[in-house]
Amino acid sequence: MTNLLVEDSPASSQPTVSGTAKNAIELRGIRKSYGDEVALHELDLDILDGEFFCLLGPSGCGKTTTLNIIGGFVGATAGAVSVAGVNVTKLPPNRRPINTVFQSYALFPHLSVIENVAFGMRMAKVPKPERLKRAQEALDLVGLGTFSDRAVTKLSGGQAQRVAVARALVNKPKVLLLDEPLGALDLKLRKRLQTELSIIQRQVGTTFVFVTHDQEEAMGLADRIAILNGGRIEQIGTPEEIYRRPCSRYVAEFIGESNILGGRKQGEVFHLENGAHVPITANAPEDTTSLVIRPESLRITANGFLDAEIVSRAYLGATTRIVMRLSGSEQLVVSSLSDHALEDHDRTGLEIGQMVSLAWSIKAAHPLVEQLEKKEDPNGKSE
Amino acid sequence: MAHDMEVVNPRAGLFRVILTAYGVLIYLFLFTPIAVMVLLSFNKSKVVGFPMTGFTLDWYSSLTQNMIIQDALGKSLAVGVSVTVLATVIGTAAAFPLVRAHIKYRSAVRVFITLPIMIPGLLIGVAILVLSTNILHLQPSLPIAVIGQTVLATPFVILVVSSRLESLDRNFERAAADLGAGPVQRFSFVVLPLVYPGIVAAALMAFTLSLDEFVVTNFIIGSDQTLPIYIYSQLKFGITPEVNALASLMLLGTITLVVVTTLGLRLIKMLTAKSRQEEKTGVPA
Repeated sequence: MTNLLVEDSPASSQPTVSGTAKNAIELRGIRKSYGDEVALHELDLDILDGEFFCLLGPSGCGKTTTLNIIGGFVGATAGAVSVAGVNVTKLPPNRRPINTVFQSYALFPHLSVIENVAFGMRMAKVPKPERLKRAQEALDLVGLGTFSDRAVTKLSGGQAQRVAVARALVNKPKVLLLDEPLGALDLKLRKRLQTELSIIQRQVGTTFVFVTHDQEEAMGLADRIAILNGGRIEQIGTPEEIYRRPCSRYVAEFIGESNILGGRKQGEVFHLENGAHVPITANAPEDTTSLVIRPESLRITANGFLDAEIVSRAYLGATTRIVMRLSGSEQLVVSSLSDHALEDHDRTGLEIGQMVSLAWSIKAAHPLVEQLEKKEDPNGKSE
Repeated sequence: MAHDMEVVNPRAGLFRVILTAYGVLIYLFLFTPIAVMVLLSFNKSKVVGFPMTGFTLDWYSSLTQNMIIQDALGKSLAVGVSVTVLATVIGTAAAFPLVRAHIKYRSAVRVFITLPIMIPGLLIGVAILVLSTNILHLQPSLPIAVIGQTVLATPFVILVVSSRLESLDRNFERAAADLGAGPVQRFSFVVLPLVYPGIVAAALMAFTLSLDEFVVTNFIIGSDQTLPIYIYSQLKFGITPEVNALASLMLLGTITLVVVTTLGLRLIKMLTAKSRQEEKTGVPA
């Protein structure tokens, strides 16, 4: 069951284990415009063989367009698409070694579950006994082994999603595309299927390209994430890189919560706009314009770097979220493990209106260099 | 549950009575003439009208002896089948570009293509007669009648099939392409199985339309007679009980056709489900 996809052609479908990592997908200079409207600007992207890759961004950022260009459902205005080293730019979807899990699943309503799963092999003229056997194995893999004769119209959302995954994976694609496949499901089921997807991905070793607007989902699933904004890639990196070292204000604000303090660097001191100054790492660029500090990096102590007034306080179970106001009007959010917040601060009580002092590990303040034009144009069209 | 409405509207009960009565009246309005016709076809008296003098099947048995009627029935069926095949093929083929091609002024094109439904049959009849006799020098005949009825039936086929096609989620075809299906395979394995109920309904419509078409047919059929033409010719001698019997049989035929088609579609569904079972177990049930 575990080697469903590697039984026939171990060489082509095994994930890269040795150092000869090659790219499953290469996008070069991909542009897409609809009339005057530009959906994608000069996009270059390498997706490694066997990796779980997420395209993340808000609606309209170009993530689905990118996926459709990889799948062959949308033609790029310019640029080239390669899959496993083969240029497929001019090939229609049916001739690309790629399969897709659609957002709406698109299971054929006139076919049973197993006929849906066997459809790709039927098109490839795989003999019937073999395709039924392999379809059954694929259904076993997604935990729906007993559902083969069901009508797809009688499946729940989660079951339909799993059938769609089995239908795509059974063809042993080089790359599996997933277009917000969990978008229609409720939160609990979503979490469970996220876990299942990542287990399946590790079992079969196929390259997954996953589109989502849910940053938590992307962080939880992906080996690497590309964050798209207005038809451009803002940043590519592992979830940790993106969270700890965002390359722009956009990324910092899109992924998790951020406190962004504007100011300018002078030696090892960062002068804030309200006149206060805080320490900054020596290796931060000289033209640093802001510091990104995550809420959980801020600590309330006796004598920290910054004084702030407590504006509100919310107990959220595991964490307690405290909103502070700096002199000036800037607000900071502090998120603290509830147990710690209580332990350290019962004596002071952390009452609203109280003045406290904030500190952080100097390394936890990530420097950003923002272009002036970017501030004026929030869409980032700064060419 | 039905009583919940009474909380909102205390007079809901009264409205329900009125609505029910209105519904019954509409059925009476629609079906009284047909019921009277069927009833009188069993009347013993040679005079068509009430009171009925007794029950008889004579008029039906005399139909079976009437060679002219049997000939007309044969022609009606021949024309009906030809029209059904032609209109279904032409209409289905037309529905695809109408829905899927990038047509400018699509709604105008749609109205235009379905115009024959709005144009009075009389005009179509005269127009085809003029075109065939005066321009093409073809004498009115059965094939011309087939063409005339096809003109009438095709717009209905286009409407029914294109509405079915419009409701077809294009993602099914994208999914099929994704799974390796080329254009021909997408059509035969995905599109056709999903729209064929629409095509069957359209074909049925074309057939019933042809079966009772009189206005256009009368102009262009020449010396041949379909059943409606025959019935009309009989009316010159007054309404006979025989005509009532014939009309009742046509009604029965139409109802049977609808029922058989519906059951047939259901049977196909059942059989495919059954063959799936057999494939699975390897044993015919």
